Amino acid sequence: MQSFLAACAAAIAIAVIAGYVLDSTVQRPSSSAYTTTGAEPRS
Amino acid sequence: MTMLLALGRSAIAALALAVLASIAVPASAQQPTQVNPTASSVKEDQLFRQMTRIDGRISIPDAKEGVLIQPAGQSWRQFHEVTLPWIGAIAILGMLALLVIFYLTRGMVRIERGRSGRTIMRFNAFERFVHWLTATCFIVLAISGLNITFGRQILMPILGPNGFASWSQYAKYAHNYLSFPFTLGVVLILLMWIAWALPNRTDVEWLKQGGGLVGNKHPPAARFNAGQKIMFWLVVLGGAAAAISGYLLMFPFYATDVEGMQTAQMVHGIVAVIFVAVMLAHIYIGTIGMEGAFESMGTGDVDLNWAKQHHPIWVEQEMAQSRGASQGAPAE
Repeated sequence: MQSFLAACAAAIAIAVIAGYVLDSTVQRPSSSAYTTTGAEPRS
Repeated sequence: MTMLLALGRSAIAALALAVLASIAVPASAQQPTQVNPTASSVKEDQLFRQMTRIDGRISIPDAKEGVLIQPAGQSWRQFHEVTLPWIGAIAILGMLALLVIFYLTRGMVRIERGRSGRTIMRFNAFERFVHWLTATCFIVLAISGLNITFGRQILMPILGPNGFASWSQYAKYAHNYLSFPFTLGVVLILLMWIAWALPNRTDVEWLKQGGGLVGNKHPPAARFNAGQKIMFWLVVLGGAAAAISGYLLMFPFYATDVEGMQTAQMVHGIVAVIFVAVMLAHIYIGTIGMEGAFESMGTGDVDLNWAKQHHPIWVEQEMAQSRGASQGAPAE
């Protein structure tokens, strides 16, 4: 049971870290990824 | 005046001759010998046969957007809208039906000598942790993945369009991000158990006797029997195929073009539904299919009679090891 709970906690932790790393470094919103700089919408 | 009339008659006659000649010439002779892709009379399928894709020049940075039509996309759409759901339904429902039939005919595989009351450690805490890390991620990945293939038909009528959209959005997040601990689990499984998963002669005998599932014989096995070794390689190779194709999809066009993305999606879909079907069999034999089996991943300790029945060679090895350890230990 302890192994199962530890595995669930580890899975969630790794997933959250992976999501944070991807969102902050690799992924870009489509509004900036697929537009020219001249047409890029600014907020 | 007479001359003018004669000229007029000649002109009318020439025009009539020209009209007659154009009618008399066979229709095929009027067509160009090769299909002109730009002609309005060309049919769509003719056009697709002539051209691998229809594209043009664009000014935005994403050059892929210049592809207007990629005919192979039609085959791909047919695959993920029709073929894949059929493969998935047959594989998963077929496996469920087989397991139900097997349970009704064979029943639970019992510990023949009953429980001894003595236990032996089958898997240590780290092995169980890695197993559950991979297993829990796989269950979420399977549910969220099947949602992509079957959710619109099955869940959307229940949840409604808005509810289904919200559920699918979070399911996709879970699918993407839980792929990382799942992949880590598959790598750890490979490193942790490969030494016990290499085939040997006892596997041939185990397979010949149906692994003890068919009939009442219990062929000898070491730590892993041939069925578990097959499961190990299915998890490792299937997990690798699902992970590689999945990451190609998660990072679109980083390493492939449109055709590569389509191939990755096809591989991912087929491997995933077969993976789910195989895991249903694994879950069955680890729970209701075999008495005492779940304990190996529950507490880590199994009953000695269970171990002797299913893995007698492994029990002998463990006993010999503990005898050697006790003989080598200093006297107190």
